[in-house]
Amino acid sequence: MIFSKNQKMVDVIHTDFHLLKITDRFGIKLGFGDKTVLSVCLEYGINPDFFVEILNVFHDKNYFPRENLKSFSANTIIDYLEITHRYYLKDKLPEIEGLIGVLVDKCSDENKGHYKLILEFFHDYRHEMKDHIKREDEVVFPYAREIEKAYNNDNVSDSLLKRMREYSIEDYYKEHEDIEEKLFDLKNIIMKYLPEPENSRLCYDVLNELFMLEKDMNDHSRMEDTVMVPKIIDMERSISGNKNAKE
Amino acid sequence: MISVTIIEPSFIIRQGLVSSLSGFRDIEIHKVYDEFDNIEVIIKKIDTDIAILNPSSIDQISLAKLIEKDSEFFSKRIVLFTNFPVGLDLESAVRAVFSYHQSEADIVKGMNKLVAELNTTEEPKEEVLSKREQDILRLIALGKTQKEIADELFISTHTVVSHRKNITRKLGIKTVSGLTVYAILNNLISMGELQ
Repeated sequence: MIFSKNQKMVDVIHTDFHLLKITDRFGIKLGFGDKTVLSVCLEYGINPDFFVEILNVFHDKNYFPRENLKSFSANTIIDYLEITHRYYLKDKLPEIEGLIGVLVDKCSDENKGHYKLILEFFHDYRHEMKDHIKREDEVVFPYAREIEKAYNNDNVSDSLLKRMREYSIEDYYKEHEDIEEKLFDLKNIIMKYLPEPENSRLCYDVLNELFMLEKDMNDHSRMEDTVMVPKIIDMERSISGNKNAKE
Repeated sequence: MISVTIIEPSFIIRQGLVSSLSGFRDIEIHKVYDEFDNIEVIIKKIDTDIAILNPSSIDQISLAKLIEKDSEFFSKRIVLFTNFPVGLDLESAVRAVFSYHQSEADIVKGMNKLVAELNTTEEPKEEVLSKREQDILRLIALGKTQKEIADELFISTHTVVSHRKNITRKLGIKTVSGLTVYAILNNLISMGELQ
């Protein structure tokens, strides 16, 4: 099912409650009443067309209208990517690490050493994510926003041209693979190789969180790799092309 | 895994076939055709284990001609899915016949029988690392590079890479940090060695 902006927000959530993650990320609070997606978006100053596309992409793994997504401004896309980053760093990753911490605490002495290994694994992973996201937020995104600005104003500074020559946005995204693989490994280690947990319930909670995080991050990197990056590359090409034509 | 082609002009039945067959673990849908105009061309292109075809979409005479041309192909690969009873002649000329009116249980049973006859992939089995793979895993976990491992074991780096691939496939662990955790959990290395 494909959602539309004229549907009631509450009906959207009834159809797929996982979308609460998206509303939460956009800062939308509960208490929708009978408001439509459109009126909620207007109230919060969110681009409704973009918001609906994000709901749909998140809801249906086969739905990914690449060209339509690319038609939104880089600013809009990056704003979303940035709030997702905050959600990972400030909420999700510390939450999961805390949960694994509880799991370790509740282990018998015999198992504790082994369970501590996954706590350390996740801890390292979280820091790797933090570094990766930091570089995106501080280098990649500002660069992308500047490219869009230069493209829109048809005015490119020499310093930006220099950066365009030195820096390739593509290189950066190769890191995504490693980040995804680590999460994959962690799930397998927990399911296949750790000694039987004394507290299965808690272990399921951890796994559940990891599976959801993995899905979320796959959607996120797909947005970065197949929407944002190609969009910026298109603009870079057009800027260099125009510059050459003028000279 | 067996591969399947679906040839069905009706949208709703085609979707139904695709979605019901997707539920089978060992069935992979390769191609879906929605037209019958070029049935002869389509049949020539079939490279899957079986092709599911609705006989009511072709006239009887053309179908008989097609079967006559390549009877072995039809008896091995063509599965009919039909709304009307087919004659005994036709039934014996093809691999299997399913009807719209069969129950879910019967269709599942029939498909599973086909899968069992055609499936060449082995049953999943427990993966065990060989002694050599364990040695290599140990060295990976200790943080050695491919070159160092090759030198230490007197093998080529190419061999190290291929062992590494097998280890990853067997364990379902891809990263060095993941392999390290596995190695500790299975006493291939001790915590002390890591420091």
